[in-house]
Amino acid sequence: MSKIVIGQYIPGNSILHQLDPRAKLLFVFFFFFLIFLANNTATYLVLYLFVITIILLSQIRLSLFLRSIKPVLFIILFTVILHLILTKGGEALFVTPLFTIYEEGVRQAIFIASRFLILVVMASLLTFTTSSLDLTDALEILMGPLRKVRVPVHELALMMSIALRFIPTLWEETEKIMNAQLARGANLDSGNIFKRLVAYIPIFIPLFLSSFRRAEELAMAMEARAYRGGVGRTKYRMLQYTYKDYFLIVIFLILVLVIGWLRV
Amino acid sequence: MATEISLENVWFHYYPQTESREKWAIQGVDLIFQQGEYVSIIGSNGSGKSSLACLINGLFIPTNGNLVINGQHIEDDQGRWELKQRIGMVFQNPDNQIVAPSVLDDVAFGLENLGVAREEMQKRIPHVLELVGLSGLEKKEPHHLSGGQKQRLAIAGVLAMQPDVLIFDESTSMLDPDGRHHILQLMRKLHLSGKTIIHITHQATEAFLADRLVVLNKGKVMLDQNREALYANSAQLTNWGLDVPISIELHQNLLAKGWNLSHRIENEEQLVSEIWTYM
Repeated sequence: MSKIVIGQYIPGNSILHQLDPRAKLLFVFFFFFLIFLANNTATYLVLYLFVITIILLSQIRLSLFLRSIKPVLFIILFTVILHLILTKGGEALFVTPLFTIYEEGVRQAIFIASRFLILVVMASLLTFTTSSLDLTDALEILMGPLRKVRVPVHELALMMSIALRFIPTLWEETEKIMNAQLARGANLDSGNIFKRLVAYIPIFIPLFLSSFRRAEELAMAMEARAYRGGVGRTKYRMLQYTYKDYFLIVIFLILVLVIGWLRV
Repeated sequence: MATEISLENVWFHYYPQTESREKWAIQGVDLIFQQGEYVSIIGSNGSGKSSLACLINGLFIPTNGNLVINGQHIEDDQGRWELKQRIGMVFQNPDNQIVAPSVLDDVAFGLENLGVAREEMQKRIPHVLELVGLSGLEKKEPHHLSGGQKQRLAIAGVLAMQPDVLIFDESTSMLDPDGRHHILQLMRKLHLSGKTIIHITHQATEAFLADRLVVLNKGKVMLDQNREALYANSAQLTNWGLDVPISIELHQNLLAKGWNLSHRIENEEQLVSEIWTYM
């Protein structure tokens, strides 16, 4: 469980932890668009500088960010190779009978890898510094206007919150089932991918069954505590913007201006 | 506020339209629970205990018969929803009744559903957390709590709603001895504060902590007696596949053999002490 880093919250008291989750969510959302505005070395350098600064401000170990990049490393490498081989333009740097690597190909490969890296690091920063509960609260509030077009915003946020609440429980359950099957001689780690998938069926079936049972019991427990949807509910947790959140808007606007000025 | 619960000739079937009409989970149950009572509903597996608990709480709707609260028939959804505030229910598996990712938010869940104002929640939540002994753990995630702590959290979530009646549906069965002891102590404490306690269990030892015992078998009430009356005739529990607590059985046997002991013992410690004195 501890190996999974994506989506994990790292408790702390840094300035990033103190920001309102809505502000962080909106910032990251618009920042993703900003990344796509960058198109030259100067703009990417500004973005890198910004990301390094906020990593330092978050007071979170660098190794955690590196671990969060690991799952997408394959996609990054694949995209880099495609750009190196397929993008033409500029001076030919490396010529082989099968393909030629051009100057523009190298440039595009570096830029696309940078885009991916910055995207993943920013997404990780959001989850590292924001608890799941804060994130769902922020989503519920930000998606509030969609209620007018009958989107069940509260129900969606609650589903997300319950899903996050049950990840550790289901993980423990999976481990228990795996141990039980291993004790009976199940072989989960040998053979090709298809054999392994088949070997995992005795894990998945009891896991699904127990999850459905849990869901039913949870629904009854929620009903017993007077749950009947979002109508008439009050909220215990209140989110409040502070001057730090307004400062974040200012930083974003400065970034937009700088990137806009530097881009070709 | 007092809550008197009355079940009038209640019948319940899980699938009344599709399955055999003979498979009734509850068959013609008539019971009254007065405010402040401590009642144990005891029965073997499949005797209908949990179905009865869900009927009392309004989670299930009687197939036939009536649920009457303070003289008023509960018939519509609004009535059943209002019932949830008066009658709280704690389930068997603590893991499957905790909704929120933190202790504080889970206690607030029921209050949010009832539309309680935030200022009122701020008063109630610390109070109930202190009552169940979870003060200081407000920010903890549920999976970091022990089984007993999780069950106390579930109780706190229900208590915050300020119900008159608390139903414990085998709430001690998944706990270790220490956790069980804490929950049973809490039940007694809540009873002494004036709450009605309905404890569903198949453990005779726990059932005898109540003042009144109701024995269920195949959905029917076989026995409804106060503890003293059942104590003298506890052997009859075996007729319905239930155990007699060993301390009570031993005490009865020693009395029958002419030992000069008290006519009633409260717990194992008292029995040991009396045997020690007698010898």
